Amino acid sequence: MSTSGQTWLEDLSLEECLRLLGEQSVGRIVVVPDVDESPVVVPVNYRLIETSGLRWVAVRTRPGNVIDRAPMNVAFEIDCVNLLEHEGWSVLVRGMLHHVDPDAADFRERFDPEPWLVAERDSWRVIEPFAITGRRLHAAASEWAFSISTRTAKSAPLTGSGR
Amino acid sequence: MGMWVEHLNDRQCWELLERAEVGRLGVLVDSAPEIFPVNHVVDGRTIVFRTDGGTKSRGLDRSPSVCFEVDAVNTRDHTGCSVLVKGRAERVRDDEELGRWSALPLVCWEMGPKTHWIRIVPTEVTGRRIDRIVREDETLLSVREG
Repeated sequence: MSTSGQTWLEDLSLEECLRLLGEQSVGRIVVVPDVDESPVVVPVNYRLIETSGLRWVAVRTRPGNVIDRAPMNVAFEIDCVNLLEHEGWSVLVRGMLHHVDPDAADFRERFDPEPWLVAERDSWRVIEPFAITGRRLHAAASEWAFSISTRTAKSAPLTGSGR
Repeated sequence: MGMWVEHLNDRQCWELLERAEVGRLGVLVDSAPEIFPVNHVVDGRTIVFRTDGGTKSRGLDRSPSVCFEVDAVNTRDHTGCSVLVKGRAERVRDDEELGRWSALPLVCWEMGPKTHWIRIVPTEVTGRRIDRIVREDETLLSVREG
């Protein structure tokens, strides 16, 4: 945990990250289309899939677009930010992007159980995560500076000047 | 491919960039892509944000080629638009410029001993309409009203 005058950050547990991933349906993926190119961020529909002891983030895309053509190393993010309150959270998934075989018999069942009104031309890629991390941003309130934290904390929040 | 994509013009792109409260920064950290939500301001035709973290600042010094994306979803018809800025990240060192922004309540997602201000100078700004980005939670709109 670390702090600055107005806000402090809390690292999220893996369980909390997975819970948040399971609740949302829109995220953003970042890919680097080619060596020496700049990264590209694209908002996408996604689903967290947990099956047979494996965990994937399935991302809906279109054949031939930048995600579909991307090399394997990607990152994916979801967040919710309330700037007025200086609060929010974000979850970052880093992983490898794989193709999914849309003709596999259980494809629809596993990856798209409630199909949106989508054209047949949509395709799916899945991210195999090697790291899932998250942070929650908290507004500092003067009364918190002296409260005893029940979380495991490396240090207590510094006294903030309040908002 | 026969798909019609509506592109936003320059003015529409910058309007969206200005109205959005939060964008996502795409960067390379040790050659791997990462993405962070960022609370930014538009300064002229550049994007400025704060970072307090050593890791990101060092990453930006090594790989200044970045992107910055904002999007907005229309909850009535579930259409949306997305603007992507590709550009170079630079440290802002001019004290006068820093003075302008340090009073702004920009939220920063990292903590560290030193505040760095980063300016993204665009090399390319593109915007497009996106369809069927469905939000189940409609409060996630990142565009200021009015």
